[in-house]
Amino acid sequence: MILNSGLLDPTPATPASLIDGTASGLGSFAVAAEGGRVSANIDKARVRQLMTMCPKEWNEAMAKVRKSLRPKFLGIF
Amino acid sequence: MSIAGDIEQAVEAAVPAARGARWALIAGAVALAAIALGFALWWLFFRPAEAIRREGEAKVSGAAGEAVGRIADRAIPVIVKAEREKVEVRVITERGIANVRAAPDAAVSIPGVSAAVRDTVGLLHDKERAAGAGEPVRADDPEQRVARPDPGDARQPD
Repeated sequence: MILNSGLLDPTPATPASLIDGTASGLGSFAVAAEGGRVSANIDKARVRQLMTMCPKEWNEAMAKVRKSLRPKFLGIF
Repeated sequence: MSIAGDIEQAVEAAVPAARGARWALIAGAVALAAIALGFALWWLFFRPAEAIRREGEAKVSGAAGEAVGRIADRAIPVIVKAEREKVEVRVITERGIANVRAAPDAAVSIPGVSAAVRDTVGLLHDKERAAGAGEPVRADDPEQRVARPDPGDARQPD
């Protein structure tokens, strides 16, 4: 699920074509690069969230079912 | 020969057959008892064990399915939230670029610094490609690999 979520996909490169030899070219490149960095950090934060949440839910469910499967003496206790 | 003698003789002749029939009866009874015992054993021990095992399997697969559903219910909003946040970032970025382009000194020419920055960006992109870090991450499923577009083209430096 996490692998297919797209959250681990690479952040696209900041287009070097923004740098056109003017001050605004460099400025817009800087803005775009920072945007990409923030976007990548959002992905990382969400992946962290998923990777703590999913195994926790799974382990809880399995622990519960394991408890209910404990062999009972004469099917009563 | 008297009549009694004849009867005795007849009985004497019949006895081995009667004896055989008795043995056959005993053997049949023993076989029946063995079958009954086997059936009783199966009924009392193996059948309940099988039922318990089947019930356990049903419980486990039911719980697993339920857990997967619950995980998906909670994971999909997280993924959707990430997508929304990234769209917001893109909007802020595009507005920022527009503001930079609209700045009064936007057209000031700085060719030397620009060339140096471009060269370094090119080197960084080469390094990223060499490390294979630009490839999309997928579960090991060929269908999934084909189903999603490869964003690799978008990242080539112009």
